[in-house]
This record gives sequence, C-alpha cells and structure tokens, in this order.
Amino acid sequence: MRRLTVSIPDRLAIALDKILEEHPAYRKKSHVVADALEGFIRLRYPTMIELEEKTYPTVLWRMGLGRERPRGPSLRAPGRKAPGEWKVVELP
Amino acid sequence: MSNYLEYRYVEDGPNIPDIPIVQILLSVKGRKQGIQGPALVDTGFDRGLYANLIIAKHLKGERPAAEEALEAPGHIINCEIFKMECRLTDQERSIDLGEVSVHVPTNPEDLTEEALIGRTLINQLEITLNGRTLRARMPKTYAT
Repeated sequence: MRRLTVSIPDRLAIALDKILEEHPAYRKKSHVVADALEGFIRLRYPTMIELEEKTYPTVLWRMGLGRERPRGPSLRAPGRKAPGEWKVVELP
Repeated sequence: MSNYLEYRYVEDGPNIPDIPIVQILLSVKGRKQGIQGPALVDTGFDRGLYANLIIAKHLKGERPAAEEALEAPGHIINCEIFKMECRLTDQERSIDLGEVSVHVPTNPEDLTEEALIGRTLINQLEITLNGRTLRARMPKTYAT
C-alpha cells in the first residue's frame, strides 16, 4: 500500500464527498479513488496493471475488491424481508 | 396420498402480499454439501434460477459455463451461468429437477437477498397457487 498526495478540481472533490455520502460501503475517499483509478487503468492501459487472480463467481471477486454491498434489482415494497433462511446440508 | 409438495406462502406483515415460495436444494456435482433454502416463484423471470448471495458464495471457485446479459427495467444485468443440481423439497418428499442453469449477476448491486425460480423450471412443474399454499408436482412423474 502506498500513500499519494494529489490535487483535484473542486467539482471532483464535491462529487467524491457525494459518493461517500450515498454509498456508505465506501468507508474512505481512498477507496473511491482507488476503485476509480483501477477502472481507468484496466480500461485504458490494461497491460500496465498486474492483474490479481480472479475468483469466480465474478460478483464475489468484485465484492472483495470493492466496497459495494448487494442490494438487488427486485421490485419490492420497502421493508420486505428475505423469505427465510438458507442452510448448508450434507448430501446423502 | 397426494404426490404434491406443499409450501405455505411466506407472510411479511399486512402491507406486503404473502409470497409464494418453494424450498430448493442446490448442489455442485461432486461436492458433499449442498445448500437448501427458499426461492421465490417468479413467473416473470425468463430463466431457471437467479442466485442470491448465499448461492454465489456456495459456487466460489467454480467456473461459469456461459455468460448472458439479462434485461431489467432501466438496465442490463450481466450474469455468469453456473450449473447446479436442483431438487424441490418439502418435509417428506422431493422432486429432482436435474441440472439447472443458475444465473449469478456479476455486479454486486444486482445481487438479491433472495433466490428466484423462473419459468425454465416452473414450466416443468404442475403448480397451483391459491393465495395461501403453493402445491407443486412433476407432471406424469411421481415424486421420489
């Protein structure tokens, strides 16, 4: 882990604050900046970044990398609970 | 004795209509453990099974068989498709649905807390819904 000190335009700083407010899973500005930088490098300069070994399903890999939590796209009334528990079972 | 599997709808307070579910047992071929839990019966879902976080975690380390982009209101949900063995179960019996395709979204924001069972599987079954109880059986094939 390395520490950087950078200057950014006010409008980006304001947007950064808003992202932190609206996405509590991002606990620090560093997390947002690291995610943004990683996305930029992977998109524009993919050969310059050392890729870590990917885990499948991709969603688990992304949850491990990033700070997002599952929300889900279901159309549902506010406050609806999950309809029961899942458990691990031994197979016969 | 009826060869239907029966499930009471899940109740979640007066403001939310009771929810039709089935209990499913999922496993990856060759593993000694599976996972069992409720899946919402979603006749609007065009595929077999939409995974929740628990299912995604159980699939950790498996390779997807394919990928598919599903359309949802307002956006596209990119999914990886995994193969799992699936059984419908109740207290006494079960129905073997064989190998099914499980759609796992690649984006955490598209991962639900609940699993959905869609028409690819629903259409294999004879299902009745009466607002309180869901009854399901395999047509012309008795539950094992």
